Amino acid sequence: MSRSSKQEGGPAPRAGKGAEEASEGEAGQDGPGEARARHMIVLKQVTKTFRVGDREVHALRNLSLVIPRGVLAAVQGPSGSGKTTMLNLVGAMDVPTSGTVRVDGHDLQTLTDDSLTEFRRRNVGFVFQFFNLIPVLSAVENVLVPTMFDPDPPLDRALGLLERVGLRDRWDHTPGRLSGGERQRLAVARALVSDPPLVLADEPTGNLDHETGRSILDLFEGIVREGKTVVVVTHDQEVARRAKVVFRLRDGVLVGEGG
Amino acid sequence: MLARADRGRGGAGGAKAAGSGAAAKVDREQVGFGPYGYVLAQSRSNPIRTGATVATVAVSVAFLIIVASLSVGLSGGTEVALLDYKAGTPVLPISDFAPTREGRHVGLLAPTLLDPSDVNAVRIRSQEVVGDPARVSVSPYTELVLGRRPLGGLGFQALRLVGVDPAVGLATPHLSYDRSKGLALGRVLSSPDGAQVVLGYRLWQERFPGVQPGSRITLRPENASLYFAPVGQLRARGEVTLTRIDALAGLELVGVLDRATETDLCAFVPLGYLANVTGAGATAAGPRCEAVSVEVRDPGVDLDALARELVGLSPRITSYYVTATRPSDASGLREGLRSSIYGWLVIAAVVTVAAMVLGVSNTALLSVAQRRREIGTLRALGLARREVLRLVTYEALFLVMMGWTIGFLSGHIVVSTMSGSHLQMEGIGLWLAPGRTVPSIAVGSLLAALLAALAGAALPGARAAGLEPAEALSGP
Repeated sequence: MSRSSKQEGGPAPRAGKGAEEASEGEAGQDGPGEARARHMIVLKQVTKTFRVGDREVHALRNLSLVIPRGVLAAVQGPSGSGKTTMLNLVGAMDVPTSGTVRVDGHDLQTLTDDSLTEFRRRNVGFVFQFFNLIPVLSAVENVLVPTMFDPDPPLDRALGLLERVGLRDRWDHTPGRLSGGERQRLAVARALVSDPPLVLADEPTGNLDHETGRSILDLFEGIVREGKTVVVVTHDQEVARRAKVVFRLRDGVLVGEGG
Repeated sequence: MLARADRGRGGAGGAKAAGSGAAAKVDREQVGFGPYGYVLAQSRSNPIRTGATVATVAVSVAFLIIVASLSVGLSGGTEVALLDYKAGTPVLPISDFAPTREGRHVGLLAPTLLDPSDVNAVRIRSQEVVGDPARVSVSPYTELVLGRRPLGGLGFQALRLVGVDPAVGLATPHLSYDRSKGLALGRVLSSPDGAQVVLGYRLWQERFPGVQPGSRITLRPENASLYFAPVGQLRARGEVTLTRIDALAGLELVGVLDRATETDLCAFVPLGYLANVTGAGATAAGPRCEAVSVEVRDPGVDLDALARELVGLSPRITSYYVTATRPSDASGLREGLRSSIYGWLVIAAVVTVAAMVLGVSNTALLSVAQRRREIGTLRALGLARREVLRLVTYEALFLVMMGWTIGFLSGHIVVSTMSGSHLQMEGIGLWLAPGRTVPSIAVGSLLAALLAALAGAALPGARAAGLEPAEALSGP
């Protein structure tokens, strides 16, 4: 897996038909290297269908969009609109029923299970609404969880990330001894330990008060300034206001974009 | 290995200390985080679950260690006893046991338990002789086993014909003499004329109160009705069918036998005495003694001559069954015993491993179910399926190794304590062979534990590894 933390000026976000054009251009002309330089995420005609009993649920319907590299992007929509499904597809935790999902130049639908896992480990950082920290581990150990099986876990980097999120003093505290905001900051540090070019956050401020949520968004903006891409699924209007590009989903369909 | 040093520290104080420069001094050894640290932390987080699993494994391993160690000790001890017996048993013609013969030996028909675990049954050759408490000495005696039959799950019941010096009597571990009290717990009785009767302790107490062992007693008519348990019927207390014998008047007795075993309600009389004096069981109410089974552990004995002598003991004896145990038979007996021991050992090992597998598997399954979301997070963060499987397996191995360590030490201590003990149960005295916890037992139990860990972790590990991250994270 290739990695890229190269900072670039983000081109204007494109979606819908524009997304298709961009996708075609990457695949047909520019090649993967140039494609990675231009767009972090390209979804093309993505459909995701779940079977619930005898019923088919269409979580996403022919969704196409492009998210450029180095931006804070927000995905909004009511519950059941397909936001989390989209995030799962982009995060290589799921594969589309049809269509293509290209992230950082990788066509995820073509990867094997092991390759998807490796892709997640090296290219994607996750931040969850409920933090999903390991309660029995200390803060620094939680940061190191993604590198647990590495022969030489990046302790210096983990401590540096704790410093960055303001938890350096509390490196040996378990999540139970941290406040909600501290836990989410810890989760952000964990998401960055592998230095991924893409960070995906699912309602990261949904469980936090306004001020704490703002501090998390500040962290995200700092991450974007490093050239990384942050995609946030949210109901929070503050997120949408600060995002460079905003997508709105309803019933699995892209119904709007802005920035 | 893990950063645990400050977990119990007050949050503010810890933060202050770290923030004032101590934070820069994070001990890298403390934060050597990896899969083993993760497993250790998980195990510590749920002491009840961990303790239950460790206890299950420890008990199983201790059981295995005890059974194996006692079996090895028994096998070795029995082998030595058999070899000693084969090498040292003097050859005595059966006529030496006949009461009508002039000589120093008389016969004693004594039922004992011949259990594979009771090495004394074949080991006693040289015993303390205690006929006269003032003349304590050690001299050999000889025995022949007269018949043997299965006795429930306890082994065999044997009737032994024991040759003793009537002038001094004898004591064995079953027929012991307490010098300090001057009172026998078990005593062989002999009379100067060579006739010999052995009384159970309770019978002695009932019939001859106040009479000390070693006293000479002439049985008066009112005391001359003893009870005899027919050959092969002597079993545990309460199950003995007693037959009254009224033909003992005039017999002089010394001593008393064994108040601690199943024989204390019984009287034992020499085979020849029984045959010639009582008419071979021709009692008022009981069956006749018409058949004799003799097992001679001496390959040099002329079986035909022995049979004739047996029949000659009493005209009532009309049939006989004689077998001889040869050195090759002793070897076969030894191998059979060893096979039997190891057979039971294998069964014990299988049961033990199964218990451990179930214990580990149950714990791991519960753990995986409870940590479904956590496992989904690990998968989302990039841990491969095989790495999740390794985590579950490491946890099982950790628990099992803890249990094995405790179980091994406990089992070894129990074996050391039990070795050579004499357990006295209702009607049954059981000597435990010295157990030996040899290295192969330690290695074998360790391998069994490791096998149990791997087998027990297989299903929960597969379930954990099979979790799809999106599915696991979307659950409640």
